[in-house]
Amino acid sequence: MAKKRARRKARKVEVRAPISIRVTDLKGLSDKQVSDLLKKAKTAKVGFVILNAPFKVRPVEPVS
Amino acid sequence: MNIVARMTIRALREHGVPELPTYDRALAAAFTALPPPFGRKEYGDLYRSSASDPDWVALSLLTAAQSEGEGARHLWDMAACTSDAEVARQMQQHAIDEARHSRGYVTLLGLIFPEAADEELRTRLGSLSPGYNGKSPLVPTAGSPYAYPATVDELIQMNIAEIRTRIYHLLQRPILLNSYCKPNQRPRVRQMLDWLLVDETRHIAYTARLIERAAQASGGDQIMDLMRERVKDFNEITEEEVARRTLAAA
Repeated sequence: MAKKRARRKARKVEVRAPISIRVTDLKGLSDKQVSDLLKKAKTAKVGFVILNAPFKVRPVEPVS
Repeated sequence: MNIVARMTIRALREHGVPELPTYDRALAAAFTALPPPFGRKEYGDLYRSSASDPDWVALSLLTAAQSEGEGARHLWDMAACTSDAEVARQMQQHAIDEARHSRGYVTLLGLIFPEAADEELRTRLGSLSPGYNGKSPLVPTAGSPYAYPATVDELIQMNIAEIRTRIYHLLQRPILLNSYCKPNQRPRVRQMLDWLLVDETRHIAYTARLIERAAQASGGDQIMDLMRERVKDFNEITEEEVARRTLAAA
């Protein structure tokens, strides 16, 4: 139900609030912190994600 | 025919790809039956509305650098495990391209928003790219969930994802060039956006050719069914991403 509501909402093009993660926030962070922050920002804040690899990862034994 | 299928097939012909009977048919049928959200007007409207905030645009360039770097690593792991030499070679080149794109997005940030990140930060953002080149050893990352051989299923998924990435490029290009780029940087930014777009079209092209090759070997019905199934999956992913964006902004 929540998913359906979210999808209905997605069709509206109302972007009102500014994002809370700002590029300047990245200054002073470690490489890993920058990467982690951008991963979080990717879908939640930006929403337009670049994908190049397969998106349905097969459940296989990882290589050792 | 659905607009995204029409645009994609037209781009392939302009790129020099001959007619691919099964691939063209499978793409047109799947996108017509299950129209992708990224072909809707609302998708473009949401992008343009979001892109009215310069900080959002700057952040979008950085998350693109992160995504391209991450995708490069996944493709590299898969290429390393793929025994078909031709498929592996093309996936390896794809990964090298994406690693270069990651660095390209950081360069774009510097060109378009020189005040957003100083040189030190931009240098560190370079670590988002794995920096692959033709001499990098083709071995998978230990424990990578992408370390398995690519089949036609993976090629179809990559193809659909690249089609959306190409649409994303078409959306961001005029915004970056006309709304944010200073005139003196415009030629360089345009050049970078040109090669990004050519690369994305090339990635659609090589996966399309390999999908067609697989259709010749195993029959078109499997390709038709798989394309439809993966378009459905990817539409759900896109809907969820856009819903999260809309909810985050509300």
